[in-house]
Amino acid sequence: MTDQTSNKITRRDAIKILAAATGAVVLANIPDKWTKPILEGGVLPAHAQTSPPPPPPPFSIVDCGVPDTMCASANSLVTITPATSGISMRYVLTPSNPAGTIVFPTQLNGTLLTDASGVADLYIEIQFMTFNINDTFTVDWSFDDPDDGIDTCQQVITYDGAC
Amino acid sequence: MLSNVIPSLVDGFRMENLDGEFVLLHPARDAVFYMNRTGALVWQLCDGSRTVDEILNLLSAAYPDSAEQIRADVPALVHSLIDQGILKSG
Repeated sequence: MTDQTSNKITRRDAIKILAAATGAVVLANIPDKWTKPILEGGVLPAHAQTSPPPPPPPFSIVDCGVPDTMCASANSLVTITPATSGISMRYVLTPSNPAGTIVFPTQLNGTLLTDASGVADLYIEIQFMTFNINDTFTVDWSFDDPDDGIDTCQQVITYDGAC
Repeated sequence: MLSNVIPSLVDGFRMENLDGEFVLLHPARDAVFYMNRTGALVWQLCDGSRTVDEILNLLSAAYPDSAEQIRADVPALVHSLIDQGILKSG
């Protein structure tokens, strides 16, 4: 292949200058043929941009009680901080003995609102004759709305038959 | 007219060669541009050391069969790069 000369610079010299000017990124990629340059793009869409982490949820769970015992009834209390009324707390009540009768709550999965002290109170009542000693009732607490908080808490209440 | 303009690179952009495709990134601006090989070549030549006319002469010498197209393509690209804030005109 022979170089074509222009008035001022040969093709070979031009290629050398391009190679020297473009450095490592393009050096091995000097195109063999000229094609129309393409430029596409712009500012990244919002969902692709780096953004600061979201602020933490405003509430957290302080506690929901230590392991406890009961016979006919018990209360499972969950406390949030800062103490605020009207925050919806979700409970899931799971008896170890599904054959037993739970009088209250009527739904094993539901929500309760916190009071001004930041406490939600789940009253549990059972037909104790339908349960066996050491059957357990597990209460899992969480925020109904993750925007309120993401903490969870679990309390286990054991039927002790001491009625 | 761009002939005597000396385009130079705007700080913060960096070129990545991804298997023969060229991506121009400016992380602080959340900007990303795709360029083909000739686009990347022109961008690299706009380093503040030569005028647009000199770039045209260089590319026309390197690709004599496309000299006419280069005379149309390169000023348009440089103009676009300046408009997008990728190059600054000295």
